[in-house]
Parts: sequence; structure tokens; C-alpha cells
Amino acid sequence: MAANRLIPSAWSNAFNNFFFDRQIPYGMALVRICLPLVLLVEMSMRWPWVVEFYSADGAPAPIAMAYGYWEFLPFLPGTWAVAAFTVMLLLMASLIVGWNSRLSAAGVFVLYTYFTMQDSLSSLTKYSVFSSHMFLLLSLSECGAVWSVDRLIELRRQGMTRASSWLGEGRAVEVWPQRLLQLFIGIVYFGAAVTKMQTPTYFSGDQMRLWLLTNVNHWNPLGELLSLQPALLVPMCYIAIIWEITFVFMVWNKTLRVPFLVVGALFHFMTTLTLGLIVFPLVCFSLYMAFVTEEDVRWWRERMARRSGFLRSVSQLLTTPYRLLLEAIAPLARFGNVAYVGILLGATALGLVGHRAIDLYAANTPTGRYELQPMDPQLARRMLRTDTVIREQDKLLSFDIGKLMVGGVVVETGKTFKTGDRIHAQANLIPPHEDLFVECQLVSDRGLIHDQSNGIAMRQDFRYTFNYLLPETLRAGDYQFILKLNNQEVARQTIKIAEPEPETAEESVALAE
Amino acid sequence: MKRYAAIATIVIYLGALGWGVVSHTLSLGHVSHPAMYYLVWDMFCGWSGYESRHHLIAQGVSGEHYLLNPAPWGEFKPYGPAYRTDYDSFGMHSIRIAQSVLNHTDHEPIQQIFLVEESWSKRYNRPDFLWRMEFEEEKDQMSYFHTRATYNGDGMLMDRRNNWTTAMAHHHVASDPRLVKLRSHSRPFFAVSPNAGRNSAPNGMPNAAPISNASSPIQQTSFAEPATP
Repeated sequence: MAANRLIPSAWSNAFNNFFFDRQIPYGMALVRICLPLVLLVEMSMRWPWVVEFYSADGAPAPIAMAYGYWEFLPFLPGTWAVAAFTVMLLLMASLIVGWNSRLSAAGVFVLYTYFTMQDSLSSLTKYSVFSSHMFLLLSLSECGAVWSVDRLIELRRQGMTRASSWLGEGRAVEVWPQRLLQLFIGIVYFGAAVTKMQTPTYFSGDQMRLWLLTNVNHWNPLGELLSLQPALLVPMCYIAIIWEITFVFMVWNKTLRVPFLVVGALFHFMTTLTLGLIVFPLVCFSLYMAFVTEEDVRWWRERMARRSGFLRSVSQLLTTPYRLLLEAIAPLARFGNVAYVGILLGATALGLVGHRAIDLYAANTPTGRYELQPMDPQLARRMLRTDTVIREQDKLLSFDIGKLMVGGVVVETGKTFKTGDRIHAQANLIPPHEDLFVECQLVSDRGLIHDQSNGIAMRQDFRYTFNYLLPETLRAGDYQFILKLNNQEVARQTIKIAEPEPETAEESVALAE
Repeated sequence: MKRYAAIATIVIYLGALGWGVVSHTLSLGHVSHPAMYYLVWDMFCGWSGYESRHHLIAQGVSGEHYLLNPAPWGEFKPYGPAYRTDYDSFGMHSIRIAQSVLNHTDHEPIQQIFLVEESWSKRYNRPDFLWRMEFEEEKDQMSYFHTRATYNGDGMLMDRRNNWTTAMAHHHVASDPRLVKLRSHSRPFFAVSPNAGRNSAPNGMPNAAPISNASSPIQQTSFAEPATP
């Protein structure tokens, strides 16, 4: 009986401690500042295109259509879309400074989700989905309880003069929205791991290799370089999935919290270098701010108080403009919601005027509307012809020679080998391809064929490997592996067979005698 | 009361996130509603061996062709070098873009609009210095073209095909002589508008959009629900 009473009580205490502890919401405040800052820049770039992307007067691309819902959300007329979009940008700005924080967050949640859902081609991505979740949770939280105009006004009402300083200005609130945000991050990683488990080519590194070579995102020099060493990708893929699965369980541990977050930050930073993603990692860094606690802020302040020099200067450089901004806005905020609404309406009106001045379609210019120009007939014919035959060389991603294989992928470490070495000549193929007749020849620099092997690469195969034991009879010199697909040469790789070492040569002579 | 509302919010929110993971894991209702896009975490789930770009071509009544993208007023590049149309992987939205360009420009009457997919092997995406490290052959890139969809001048769908890589994968299988022989002996079946009266899409897009996926061999039929994203 006692146990029966204890267990629910223990569970309930744990639940209450976890969700209803009261803390100053530094983490939520940082999310409130960083996330809208990133998205304000990103969405501002789309502002000139509002009519085209989101309104009934342009070419919206609602995500609901892909799910079979043809008229899920109404399309706004161009002018209304511009006005609503401008309001959204302004609400993001007011969220950054924490002026009517919850109202601003709720407004951004509704408008941002609406606009991104109406443009699945150039606005809706998974990071916009994360952001919608964040704005929803921010609107449920008291994210303006610290480092905000809201808090500044609150403190001034209480007669505090140094209200915007870093010392003691926060108000403790229930942490459940912050906990939901933290759980959200963990569940997203868990779901992402499930996706990877359902993608067999993820574990062989093939999917990642082809993504590294994709050019739909920004410049990704490291990705292109890494694609030369696919064997490196295999262990990285396993590390990533293990980290994704364990994140939601481990990040609560006091010892493991920082290492897990650091690995996560590195992971997202690497997506910039390897995949060319920019906004996605910035959004994720903003979300990570939800893990900042009171202790972290205290630790940071103590550290800054002790130190003088570079770190302190950086800290001041980051915080002073924000503090000055709050100070500047606070007098306006004294007028309450009248000032808030007045600024929103005024800026929206300016936005409408500005948009009319841009005149994207040149409808009001003296020269009149744009006129379509005919295209080159030859080019049109070429583009309208459907190609059904793939060149043999286009089926080959790479032809790798090496002594070591990791996860079924050849590691290339050099082009010089010696007789007696076991080496692999591996053709990495690009799908789709039909069942292929694959042939590999080992040819000397005199054109003499020393070996010829062949086989069938099935249509589902990503690679075909020829294994060689370089015979002792091969003299030192240059050789070439020649790869043929369907009897057509598609690649050559030159290797060097090194001179045998002197001891080995003497032993050979002795044996021959 | 406030505490109960908070607990209800926590339970509902975590329940929704949990349902998203279960639904995605078991492929159960994961594409049943647009809201599922907000609960399913399938980032980077797909891949292709070919880089592709989309071109919109309009044909006037005179027979002249007009390239509609990039639009005369310029194009927005959302995430890199690709245009907005290039992210239309299901070929669903491009017709709206074409119609928008036509609506806001002067031109002769249009009789047909084509969505053309251009693809090239990703091996050529390597920069030249990396190409030289990888291959002894010269770089000789070739683009493959494939008409993905054809619309009439009013934007009504006339013909729609799989993307090029899926079409090629099917072509490789379907050109098997044994299958060709079997197909030639199958009994033909004709059905006229089996979905008439159902919630078909604007622009005449059929409910049974013939999109299939090499990794999920589910044949779309005339009676199937709309293609999943």
C-alpha cells in the first residue's frame, strides 16, 4: 500500500519538478532574440517577392496540394499579402526586443506558418517547421520575463533605475514551455534517426556522398572534397545516427549535456561546410539556446567579472547594442498598445507604398509590361526531346583503387603498390542503371593485357569490385586499370608497381638458384 | 485551473510529437494531412544520382517557343544557385509559375506549356581540380532532357510523367524482352473518367497522378488516392 502511494507521488513530484520548476527564462529569452533575428533577415529577402510567392496574384505553391488538399488555406490578394507579410516582419522585430513578447510571438506563429505553407518551393523547409513550433512555444511562454522591453517597463514601474543592466533583472517563471522546446529538439533528432534507419543507402554512405555532390544549396567545398573519400562517410553516418537517437535521453545529464550540445553544434556547423546549408544551422543554433540555464548565465557573468580583455570586450560588444536598443524603445513602450499598434500600422503603410514603388511586373512603368522573347528554335527542339539512353560514362561516379576497404568502400591512400599486394579496383555506380556488364583490365605501359576480369552489376548495385593479388611476375613500372561498362571504356586509373626491396630481390635470386 | 491548462497543453503537444514519430516509423497516416508535415522529421530522406533543373517552355500559336524561367523580372534563388521552379520535385506547382509569367507579360496566344526537366550526372558537379584528382579522362558533361508535363494554353494538364530518373529506372525494367512479350499479350482495359465527381485537382490534375518511387514499388491506379509527397 505504501509503495502504491509512493510511486504516483514520486512520479508526480518528478513531473512537477521537471515541468513546473520556476526559473528566470534566460534560455527562452535567447531563443526569442536569436530565432526571429535569423528569420527576419531570411524573410526580408523574400519581401520584394511577396505578391509572386504568397498571393493569389502570383504563383503560390501551397504544401497542402501535395497532400491532396487543393484549397486548404485561402490565398490573399496581393495588397493584403504584402500588408500581412510586412506585419509579420515587424512582429519579428518586436519579438527580438521583447515588446509585447507573447502577442508578437503568437502573431509571428500564425503569419509565418501561413506564409511558409503557401510557398512550399522557396519558403517551407524543415527549419521553417522548427521555427513555427518555436514561435508557438514562445507564445505560450513568458519569454519576455528577462532581457526585454516588457521587463524593462515592469522594472521601471517598480522604481528600479538600472533596470536594463545585467544584474538581477529577470523574473522567475514556470519552465514548462522551455522543457517542451528542449523535448521538441530531442524528438526531432529521434525522428531524423528513424528516417535514416529507413534509408538503406544512408549506412553505405552512398546517399551522403550524392548529397555532398548536390548543388541546390550554397557553396560546399568540404562536401565535394569529402566525396573523394566515401569510406570516411560510413563511420560518420553511424556516429551521427547514434548521437541523434541518444540525444533526447542524454542531454538532461549534467555531465553529458555540454558534450552533447557541442557535438550537435559541430554537426550543424559541418552541414554548412559539407552541404552548403546556412539558415538551417543558424535556426538550430538558436534552438540550442533553450538549453541555457540560470547556472550557465551565472557562470558566464562570474567569468566575465573576473576577466578583462578580449572575451569581455566581445561580450560587451554583443550585449551593449541590444541594451541600448531596449533603452531606446522603452520610452515608446510607455504609451502602451497605442504606440505598438501605431508603429505596426505606420510601418505597414510604408511597406505597401514601398512595394508599389518596386513594381515587380513593371505594370506601371512608361515602357509597359515585359514582352516575352522567342527562344532559339534549335534549343527548344533539343529541350523538348526526351532522352532515353544514358551514356556509359555517366553511370560511373568514381573508379577507386586501394588496398583497404571500409564498409564495402575502397579507401584510396596512394597509387603505388608492390607485387604481392592485395588491391581492390572498385567501380562506384550512379543509379539508375540497367544490369551492367562490367569489365576490368590490368594493362602495362607497353599495352600488354595482364589480366581481364568481368561480371554483372545488377541494376540495384551501387558498386562492383574487382579484387587483385598482384603477381610476383609483374615487373616494376606503370600499369593501368581500364574499366569498361557494356564493353565501352569509361575510366582508367594509372598505378605504379614499385621496385622490389633489395632484401626481397636477393632472397628471390637465392630461391631461384 | 492554469496548472490544468498547462498540463493539458504539455500532454497534447508531446502526444502530437509522439504520434508524428510513430506515424513516420510505421508509415501510418504520415501523409494523411498537411499538418503531418509539421510532425514528421524526414529531413534529407531522398537522394538522386542526377542533378536536375526545371525549365518552363510555352509554345505560341505561331509555333514559336518562349522560355518562361527565369522570368523577365528576375528569379529569386532561395537556398543556393537553383531557381524556385527547380525545387518543384513533384512537378505540381510549376504550372502556376508559368501562368503567372504569362499573366504578367505580353505575348502571342499560347497553345501549349511544357515542364522540361534537365538532368546531368552528379559526377560532373565536382570542381575541375577535384575532377583531375579523381579521373584521368576529360570532363565531358551532358544534359538529359525529359518533358515532365504538358499543359494546354489554359493550363489544363494534357500529359504527365515521372521524373527522369524514375522514368529511366522503369524503362530499364520494362525493356526486358520477357516483360515486353508479356505486356504485348495482356488484355487491354479502357476506363473513362473513373474518378469523375471526386475531389479532383484544379488544372485537371488526376487523382491518380502516376508518381511512383523506385524504393517503394506501389503502383498508382485510377482508384488510388492522390500521390503522396
